[in-house]
Amino acid sequence: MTTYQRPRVRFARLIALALAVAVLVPASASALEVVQSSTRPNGFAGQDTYGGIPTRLTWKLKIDAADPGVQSVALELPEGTNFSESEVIAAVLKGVSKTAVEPTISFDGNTVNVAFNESVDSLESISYIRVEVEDLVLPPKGGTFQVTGSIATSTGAVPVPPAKEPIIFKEMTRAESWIAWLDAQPWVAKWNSVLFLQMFFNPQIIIASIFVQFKGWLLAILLVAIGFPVAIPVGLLLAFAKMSTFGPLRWISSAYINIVRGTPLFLQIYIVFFGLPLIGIQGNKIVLGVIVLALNSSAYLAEIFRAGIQSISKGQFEAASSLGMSYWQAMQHIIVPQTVKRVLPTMTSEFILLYKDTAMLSAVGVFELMMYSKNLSAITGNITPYVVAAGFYLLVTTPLISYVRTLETRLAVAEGGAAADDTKPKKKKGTGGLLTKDAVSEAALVGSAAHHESR
Amino acid sequence: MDQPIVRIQDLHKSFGSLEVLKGVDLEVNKGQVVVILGPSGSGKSTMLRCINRLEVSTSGHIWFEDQEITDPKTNINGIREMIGMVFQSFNLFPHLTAKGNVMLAQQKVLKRSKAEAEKTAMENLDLVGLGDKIDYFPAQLSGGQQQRVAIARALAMDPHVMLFDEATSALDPELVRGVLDVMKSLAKAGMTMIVVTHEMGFARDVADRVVFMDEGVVHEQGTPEEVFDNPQSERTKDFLGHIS
Repeated sequence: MTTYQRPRVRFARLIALALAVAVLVPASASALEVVQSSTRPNGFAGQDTYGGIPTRLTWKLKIDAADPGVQSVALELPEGTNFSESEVIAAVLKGVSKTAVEPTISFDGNTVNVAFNESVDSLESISYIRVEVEDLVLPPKGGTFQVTGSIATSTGAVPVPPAKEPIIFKEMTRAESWIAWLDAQPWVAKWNSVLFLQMFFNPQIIIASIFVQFKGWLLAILLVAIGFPVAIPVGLLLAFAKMSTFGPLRWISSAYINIVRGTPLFLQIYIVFFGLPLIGIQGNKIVLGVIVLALNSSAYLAEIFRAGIQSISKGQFEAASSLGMSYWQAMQHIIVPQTVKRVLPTMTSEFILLYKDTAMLSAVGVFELMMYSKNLSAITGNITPYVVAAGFYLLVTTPLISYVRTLETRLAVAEGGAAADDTKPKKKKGTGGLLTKDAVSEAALVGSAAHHESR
Repeated sequence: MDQPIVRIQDLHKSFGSLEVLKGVDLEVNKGQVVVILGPSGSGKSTMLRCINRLEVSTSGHIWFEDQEITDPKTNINGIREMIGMVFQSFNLFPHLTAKGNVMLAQQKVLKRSKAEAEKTAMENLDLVGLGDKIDYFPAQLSGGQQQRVAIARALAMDPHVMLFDEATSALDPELVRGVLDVMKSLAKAGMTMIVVTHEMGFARDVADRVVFMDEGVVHEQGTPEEVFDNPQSERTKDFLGHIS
């Protein structure tokens, strides 16, 4: 409270001000000052005021000792302001105490009139008149305005002085207007009267979440859409390194795979996000996020690829060799094409895991889906944003999960030779029985091995 | 006709402490069909697989034409393309059609053009009686058909010698015949063949020489008449007695 610590300075300044006012302005002029003129944010998030939905106006006038007594104020708001639901609370504050006054309130078009029984002055200390207009609806179009109008004083009427800052209000977005519509529906009120529904499936917050979290969802997809393709070649290199006959290459690859698979992704995120900048590798959070996801996934993919390659029967390699093909020719034309088909379901599962894992990046402030949900949930004090986030995740994972099932079925058919349906040539049973059974169990092995790796 | 195309000298092969080949000596001349008989575990297949170095021998020597296969400095891929091999389990490439199976190595190893490889593939698939199945995938073919595709695949490389490793053992009895017929026609056409089999009829009809192996060594060899009708060793007699 600086004014109390340095009363003398303050006093001197006041005298100087009073003298200046006396010299420069006519006696009837007033030093009335508007110290507050603002509206309450009425969106579902953020600090903005929107037109078309109820808000509250708070307007506060300071009356100094030098000012004449105030008898009434007429506050003029923008054309089209609606007061039909409004209630006005006016108060007079003297010093720290509130004086009970019973002003007469009336509305006149877009003007609020507040008339006091007796003149409000400031003989003893500084007084304030505070007018709060509840549930006024500003014009839907949006705009910027100063509260205008006039103040009736004991020495005559003066115009309402402008506040330091004008009031800005915006046109409602589509989300805002949908929410406003929901707000007005009786069934929504009824729905929200059930605590569980209100906390988990709040219609208004569902709309808000969809609009707010959409960007986060796109980022989550972007992160995995870049990270996963990067992880594939790295994983393939790691897989070949692990199968190499050259010891050091094998050890490095094994160590990498074991470390990454043996530690939580959460920890890896912390190490990359806090570690890389320390050694001079700067990058924005999205780039770092892609890096850590790719590094993590490459280790899992390496094991998937290795298991896939090793599941191809040795005979395939021998047949290729017996035809004079080199190791890499056999890999390229025989082993890898068969592996791809076999590991596709497991790879897709790994993609699903990685996509879900993007949520962990919210811990380091990457604005992906989870981060938006967390923020919105905190603002609204409601669980609905998380439920909506679940919907966003499922939007991607559900089709992929059914795709994995299709791939697995197709693989089983292809490797089992059960392709002998009506359109295909007749397969003579029993002939390839041993072989096909092996192929199926091998394929199942690759699949199950990778499923166990899920984290 | 008398120059050896494959010459094996004192070949040894061990898997860990298990010695499978204990000094095998064998010569195969150009145009000859050599059938190798013997009980399972006698080392027949292992010996065959040493010829194109699918198994690396422990000691001893193998020459193919004028190159030594057992010399680690030999470019084995260059030799392998001249040695066709047919496996018990066919080992067709399941992701390729019959034609694709026959074409691949021609294009990648022999660097033949696609058109040339395709023409050779068709000829060889016709030869094994599968001219109408060229676009079928292995899974759509019977075991006998698969094995004939495998033979066509080896033949398309214009091999100097063909190795058959129990080519009919995984087949149902009614499918064996088709494969044996193809092998017979190959023999008639003058292909040098080393055949590991249990088909005594084939050995008797087609073989120029029958080799009886047991416990990692060649026990007895000669013309089919000599070995089948007048076996010298007790072990051979015993084996043939069990078979027939």
